[in-house]
Amino acid sequence: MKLYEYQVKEIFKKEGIPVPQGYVIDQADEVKDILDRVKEEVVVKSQVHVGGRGKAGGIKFASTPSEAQSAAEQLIGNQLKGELIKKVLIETKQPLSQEFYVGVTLDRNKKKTVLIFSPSGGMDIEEISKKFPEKLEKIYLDPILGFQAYHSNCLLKFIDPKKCDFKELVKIINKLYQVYIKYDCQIVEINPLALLENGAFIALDGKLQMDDNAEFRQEELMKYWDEAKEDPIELNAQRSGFTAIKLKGNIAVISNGAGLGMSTLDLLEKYNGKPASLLDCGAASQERILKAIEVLVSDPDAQGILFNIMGGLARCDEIARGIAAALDSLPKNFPVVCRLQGTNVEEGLKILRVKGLVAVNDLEEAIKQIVSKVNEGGR
Amino acid sequence: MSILVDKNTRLIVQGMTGKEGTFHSKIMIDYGTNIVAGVTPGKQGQEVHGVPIFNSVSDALKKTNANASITFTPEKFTKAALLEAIDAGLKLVVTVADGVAFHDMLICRDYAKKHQCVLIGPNTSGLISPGKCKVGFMPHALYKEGSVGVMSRSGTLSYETANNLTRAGVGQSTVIGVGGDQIPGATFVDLLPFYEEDPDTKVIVIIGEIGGNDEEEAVRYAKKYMTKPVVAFIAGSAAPVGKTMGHAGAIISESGAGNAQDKQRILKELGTLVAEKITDIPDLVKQVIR
Repeated sequence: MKLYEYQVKEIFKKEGIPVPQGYVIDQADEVKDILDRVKEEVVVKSQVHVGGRGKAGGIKFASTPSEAQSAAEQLIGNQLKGELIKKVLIETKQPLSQEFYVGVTLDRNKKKTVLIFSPSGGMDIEEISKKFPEKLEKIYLDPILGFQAYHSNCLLKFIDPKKCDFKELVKIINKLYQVYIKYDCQIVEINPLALLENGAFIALDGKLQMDDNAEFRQEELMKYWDEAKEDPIELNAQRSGFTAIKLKGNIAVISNGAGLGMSTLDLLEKYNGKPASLLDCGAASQERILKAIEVLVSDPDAQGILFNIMGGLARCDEIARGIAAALDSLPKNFPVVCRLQGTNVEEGLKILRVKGLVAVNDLEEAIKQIVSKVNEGGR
Repeated sequence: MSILVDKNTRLIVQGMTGKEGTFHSKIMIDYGTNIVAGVTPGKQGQEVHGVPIFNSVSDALKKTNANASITFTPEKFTKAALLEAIDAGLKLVVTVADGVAFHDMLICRDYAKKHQCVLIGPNTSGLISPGKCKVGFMPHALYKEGSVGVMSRSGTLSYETANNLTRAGVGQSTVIGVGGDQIPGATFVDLLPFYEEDPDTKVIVIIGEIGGNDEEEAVRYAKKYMTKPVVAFIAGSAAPVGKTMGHAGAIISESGAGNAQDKQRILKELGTLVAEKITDIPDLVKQVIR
């Protein structure tokens, strides 16, 4: 789960990382109330997840209330790189002398937590590493030791002690690491961490993504979860206890396993089939299969269903009974093709064939069938 | 022969008194796995399927000569269960939990490595040496004893592959689910040396998928240090960027890293046979088996 900037800053503030005074609004006419209180120049920032907000015009500066109001009007309710802007964050503009990058994230390949620091912040980390690789330090952290003061010694080379209070900087880095641990972050970063003209540090922008597997112990972050942002089919599946992925094509795919599902999509693509969705039904009972079908057929994009079942713990006959029972609830002439293999496959195939469905052993055969049936015109 | 688990495995089941633990323990025992103890805090003195239950792994080790453990504990207690088993000195620990926070796994993986413990999982169905021992919940009827080592990030694709190999008359030495998470315990590269040393494993099949670079690392290692041929398959060619494809670890990053096409290309460049379709694996195995 990704947080919006204003939410990240709420967390930062709570954990002692300094952030600018900010106001979040979802109506442009609320600007006036804020600017009655704020007299300085302000920055109006779109609250979206897409990257490169500044370059795309999602961040605007304003020196008068009417400028701020018109900036908010231009942003709220409009799209930024395809994402709807629902809220903007208004902050006072900060007089800064230097921008740093600090991030803590999982290095997936090395399977370690890495602390990344650069004295050339303000652009995204990929850009920094391309343009100024010599100004980037990566510190790999032991999961049990965590961040220790000595880790920061290798950052001294980037610091001008006359301009910058290094101890203060290290305190902020340590707090950021504590946020990474406490909130089960996949990534947390401050970019830029600004050094102000008065010598203080302040987090001007922040990013935080939580590990979804940690949902059970992150109640505080989960209150930021924005249901409306989720795809309705994925959400519906989740409520029914399934994992589903909404895609852009017209064939709904149900398989019992994530890897099997992925390889089904791969083969479907080879035969020019376009998946509308992929749902993992696990070792489902008849009733659960009915439910899974109901979820995917509620998607208007779905013009047919392909099943790919590798019976193991899941029994092919049980799943076949579920499919057979669902037939009455399907739209007329809605194509259903099943590939069954493994436990109780013969009985499963029989149950489906009696109902007049295409049910086969071979996945390629099943894929050819569903692609041609959907192309002939599903519902 | 086989690797990691066989007739000499003496297994502890952590969480044996729970529903899943009880159910799958029975199936493992019937298959021939030697379960010597169960562990559930507060339930010492009870028995499940005639197996004594202990309060802790260390209590179990005082009374039995167990040498491996599998945990059926819920994901929120998995870290504690794994650390307990490693701390008690076991050198093979398996977890079938699904949904373990990766911060927990960073600690467990590190702790296991520092104690020379092979940690399998999470998000796996376990491992099986067909005809000898199963530690997990895979559908064992699909497997047959033989000389192909299989490792897979996906459970169902490992079942499918075992089934296809068996039907093609090719048996398996040991089939291991390394699991579908971002931070597994043992990765492909950690397990390859065991297969290399096993005289009965002739070929190794790696079933990978999008996300990370464990497949590339494994094949690089194999090219440098292994005498046995490797056959690979990568799932997820059709997966969109930035979407988690069911497994927490199966995601192509926004920058495109970890996509299937790059993985397939790198594996081929390193001289590995890469199956286009999962069903092509038995033919490729037959080509290289000696």
